[in-house]
Amino acid sequence: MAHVDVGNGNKTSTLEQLQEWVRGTEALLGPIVVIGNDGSQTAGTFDQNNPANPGPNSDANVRQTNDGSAPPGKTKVCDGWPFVSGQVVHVVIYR
Amino acid sequence: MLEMGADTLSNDSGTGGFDMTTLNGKSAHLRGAVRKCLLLICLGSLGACASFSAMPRPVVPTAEAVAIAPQYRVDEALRRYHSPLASDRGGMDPRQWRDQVIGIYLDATEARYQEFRIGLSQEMRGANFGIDIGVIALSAVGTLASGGTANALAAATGGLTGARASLAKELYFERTLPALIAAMDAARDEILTGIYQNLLKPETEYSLERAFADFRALERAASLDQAVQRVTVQAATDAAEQHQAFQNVQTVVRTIPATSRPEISRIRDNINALVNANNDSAFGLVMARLGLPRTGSLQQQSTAALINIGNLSEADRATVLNDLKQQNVDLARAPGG
Repeated sequence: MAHVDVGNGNKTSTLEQLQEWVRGTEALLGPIVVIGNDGSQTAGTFDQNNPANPGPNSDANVRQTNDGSAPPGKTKVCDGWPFVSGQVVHVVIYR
Repeated sequence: MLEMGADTLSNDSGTGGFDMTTLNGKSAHLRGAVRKCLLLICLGSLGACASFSAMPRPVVPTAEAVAIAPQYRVDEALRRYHSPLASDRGGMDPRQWRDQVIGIYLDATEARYQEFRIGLSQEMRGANFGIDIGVIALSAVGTLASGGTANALAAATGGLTGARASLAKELYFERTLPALIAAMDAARDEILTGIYQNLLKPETEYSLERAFADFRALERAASLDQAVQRVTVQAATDAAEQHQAFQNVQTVVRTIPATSRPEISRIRDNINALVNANNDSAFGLVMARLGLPRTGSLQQQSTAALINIGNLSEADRATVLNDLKQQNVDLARAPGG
C-alpha cells in the first residue's frame, strides 16, 4: 500500500490554511499526489513510499488556477478541486 | 402594471396609439426607421416575457381570490376555531373550520404569487433593482453553467455596471430569473406539500395556529433573496459533485503546525524503519501505547499509528514519545542518532 487517502475534515479552510495542511500532512505521510474533495471535505492522496521532503526548498505551494499549470520555473505536483472557504476551487500544487 | 396578460402585450405591440401624423413632412426613410424600432421593441418585450411570464389569465381574478381572506381575519378565525359553539363556525367542527380557513388563505396566496411571477419581469426590467440582484444571481448561476454559457455569464457579472450592461441584462433575463423563479417554486412546493399532508391530520395534531405558521412560511418562500440563496447553495453543491475526486474519505488528518513538522518527519522515518526492519517487538510497543489494534497489514498499522500521532496535541505527543523512550523506542531520534 503506497498511497493513502485522508481528508482535512472541513470545507472552510482558506487557501493558506489548505497549504499548511498539505505541508503538515506531507511531513506525516509523504508527498501529495492527488488533491480534491469527497463532497464534504477537502481530501488528498499521499505517497507513503517516497520521502516526505524530496529536496531543499521543496515545501508544497497551493495556488488557485484557471488552467492547472504551475508558475514558470516551478514543478507541478498535481491540480484538483478542493474546498476553499466553502467553495470548490481549482488549485494547482507545485514545488 | 402587474396585469401583464395577452391584452397588455397586444396593446404594446400595436402602433395604433402612436401618432404617426407627427412624422408628416419627414422622410420616408425616417418613418421606416421608426416602424422598425417599434417592431424591435415589441419583439424584444415578447421575447423577454415569453420564457417565464406568459400564461393564461386566471379564471378567478386575483383581487377576487384575495378579497375573501380578510373576511377570515386571523384573530377572529382562531377565536371561532376554539369556540365551543359550532354555530360560531357556521355549523362546522374545528377541523372543517381549519380546512376552510386555510384553504381560503392558500387560494389567496396562490393568486398573489402567480400575479407576482407574472409581474416580476416588468418590475425588474428598467430598474436598478434588477441589476443588483443580477450581480448576485449571475455569479451563482454562472457556476452551474458550463462552457460558453459559463463564460458569457461570468462576463456578464463583471460587466453589469459597465459598458456591457445591456448584454448582462439580456443574459440575466434569459438565464437567471427563470432559475430564481424555479427556486421559489421549489421552496413553495416543499412547504405546500407539508401543509397538505398535515391537513390530512385531525385538528388535535395540526392546529389552526400551526397551519397559520406554515402559511406564513409559505409566503416568505416567495422571496427573491431566499431564491438567490437557494440557487447559490445548489450551485456550490453541484460544483462539488462535479469535481468530486474521492468517495467518503473516513480518515481525517488535522493540520500539523510548521514547528512540529521536523519532529513529525523523524517519527515517520523511525516508524517506517521499525516496519522495514521487521522489528515487531518495538513496533508492537508503539501500537500498544497508542491503543491501536494489531489488525491489517504492517503498512496499514504503521499508517494508522502515524495518523494517530499526527492528530495528537503537542502535549499528548510529547507524553507518548517520552513513554516509548522509556521502553527504549525513541521515535523522535534524529537520523543516525
